Amino acid sequence: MSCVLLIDDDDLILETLTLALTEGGYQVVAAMDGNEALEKFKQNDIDIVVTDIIMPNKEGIETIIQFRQISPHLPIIAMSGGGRSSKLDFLSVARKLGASETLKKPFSPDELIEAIRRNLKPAD
Amino acid sequence: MPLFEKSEMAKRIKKPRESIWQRLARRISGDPTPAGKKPGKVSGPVPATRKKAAEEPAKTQVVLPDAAAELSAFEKELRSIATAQSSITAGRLQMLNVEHVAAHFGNKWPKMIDRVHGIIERALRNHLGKRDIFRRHRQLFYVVVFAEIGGAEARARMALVSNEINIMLFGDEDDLTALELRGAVFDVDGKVVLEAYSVADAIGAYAASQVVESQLAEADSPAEPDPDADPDAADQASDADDDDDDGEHAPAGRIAMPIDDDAKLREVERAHEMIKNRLEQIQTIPGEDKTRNVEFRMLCDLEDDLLRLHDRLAQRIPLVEREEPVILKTAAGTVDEESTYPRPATLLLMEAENTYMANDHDQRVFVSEDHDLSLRFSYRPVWHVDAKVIGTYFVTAYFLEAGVEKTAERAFRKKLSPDINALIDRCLLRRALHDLAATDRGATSIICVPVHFTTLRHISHRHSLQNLLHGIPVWCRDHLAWEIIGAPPDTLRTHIEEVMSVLRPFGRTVVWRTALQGDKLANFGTGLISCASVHLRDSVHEETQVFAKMNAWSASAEAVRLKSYLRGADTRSLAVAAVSAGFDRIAGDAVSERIDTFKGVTPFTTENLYMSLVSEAFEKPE
Repeated sequence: MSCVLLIDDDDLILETLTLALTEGGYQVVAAMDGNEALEKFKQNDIDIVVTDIIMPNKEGIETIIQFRQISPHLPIIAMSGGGRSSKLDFLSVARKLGASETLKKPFSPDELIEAIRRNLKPAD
Repeated sequence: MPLFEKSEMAKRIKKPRESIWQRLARRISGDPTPAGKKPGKVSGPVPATRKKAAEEPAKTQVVLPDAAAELSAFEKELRSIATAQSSITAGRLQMLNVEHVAAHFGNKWPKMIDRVHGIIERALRNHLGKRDIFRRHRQLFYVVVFAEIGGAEARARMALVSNEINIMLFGDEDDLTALELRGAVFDVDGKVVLEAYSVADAIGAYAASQVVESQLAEADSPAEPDPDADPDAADQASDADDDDDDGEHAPAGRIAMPIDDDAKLREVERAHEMIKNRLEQIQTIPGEDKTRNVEFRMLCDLEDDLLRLHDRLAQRIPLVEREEPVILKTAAGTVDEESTYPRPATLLLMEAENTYMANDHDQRVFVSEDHDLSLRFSYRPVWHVDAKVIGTYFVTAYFLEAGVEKTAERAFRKKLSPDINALIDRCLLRRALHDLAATDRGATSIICVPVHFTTLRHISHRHSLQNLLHGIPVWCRDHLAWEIIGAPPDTLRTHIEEVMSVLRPFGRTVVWRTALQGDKLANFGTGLISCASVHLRDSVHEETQVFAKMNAWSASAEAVRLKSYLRGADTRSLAVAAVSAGFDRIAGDAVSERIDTFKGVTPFTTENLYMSLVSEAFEKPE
């Protein structure tokens, strides 16, 4: 069973996605920000990271860069709704700076599961 | 006591001795020569003349001016002026009555009149500001209109004028009631009346207001109890202090306290003595050949007085005339470090202003080695999110104590007084103006200068600032913006308009700093202000809570079409959250650390937030 490190500061989203991924056959480790995620990454055998961008303490893009430093081949999916204002496209920046794939909120649980499957698929 | 009743005392023909007030006034005006020794003045011979005049019987019949008729006509004129312009009724319209002088000279008056008025007008010029005006009415009266100072200070200045006239004419400084002084105030019925007051009252009220100011400043700092504080002084002066805050309310009712004359006299003497004692500790020593080269020696418990004096020097001596620097030194070994902690920070600020006033702008760091403290000037780049550039720079000052960066509040370890705020403001403005001028019209970016609300509301501080503002070249104004900081959340609309109008002509825009919560931005949304800012340093909340407040603040600003500035975005998470919340301009360590001097417009996108991190991640070996 693959282990997903799910990072989001919104506990409702965290709970919903955890439920969906568990039902989809994944083990889920949840974290509320980048700092907590980096700690849990050390303690668990993580196969893929799914992270929000706008979070307190350590936001998503910074977290992605640090994961890339620790594990260059780790699949990372970035997700964001852009916040109250959509002045800048953080997802494209996340992609440039290390995210394997991006998902724009809102998305369905199936879309997330499909994205995870794509990124966990062994390279040919 | 009228002069003619005291003329016997004046006959003693004692050597004119400068009062502390005169010395202070002389130093403010930069004149090194004591009043009694001024060439061309009549302080020496005049007592003899006076004595002679008093002894000589009238040889010819001389018709003296009809004082009652003059006064009546004059009062009528003054009331019409004061009624037409109510702002000058708050103690700014003053009247000087020299009737007693004319009466004293008796039949010599017609011969003396030109000489006496020359002396009076010189005394007025010595103590009035550039924008103050005075006019003689016939032979016996002068009307003085103070442009900007409040009632208490206006009366104190009139007291200085009266004192100088006494010395010049009679060589007698001790008679504090010789000339009649009146100030225009509103009566209880709303009518304008000219209320008489004595020199002693004016000095007492002003001294008391200064004493209570310093006591309030000390009260802000519980770690610094003043062993010399007089508990009575606070009571006697508490009312007078309000006047200094506002500067627009005449303290007339408070000066004319309903107590008997003896008690009043004792009170005035005590207040006078206190301020005199404090001021006497300021030793001003003229430079060898340089009349404007002044050295202050700062002893214990003089910080506030020195600041005030320094402020006046800065305000009274135009920059163009300041050929020689004002040098500030401490009396080595006289200041105990523990008990006088804030002084090194104050001294650094004053040293900075003195250096910049002397047009020496190379220095950006001022160091107090004894206290391991330094004052540094720098710029904070501001990211214009939509334009994807850094095009604005906040000019800033901060302290470094034992290697730890501190804001002024932390360096002083107390809430800053308006005096310190004003000093910081002037230093920042001088720094910014010099750096702007150094671009030789080649600047492309904008410098935003923070100015404290207290500086704009406090009349003398505002005056000092305005002296600088009016000297800003027109081309520079296109490259300046202002940020008004420290305004209370419930600031009245009229006060907002008033302070905005001080700065607006001298820059592209005025930004109003608000709190992250508490300020109702909707109140600003009627064209009153166009830009608002918030500083996260002022917030004590954790980032999780700050995010929600930032969103709410930004939504409020957007609702009333205010451009929004966020300062203190020191982490990337705060910067990203600020963009997501909709802030137009963002500054903080996440965007850029402080830099020594501002640059031109440079591109800046979201990716730039991560450049240093990317370098660390991919360039350093694991």
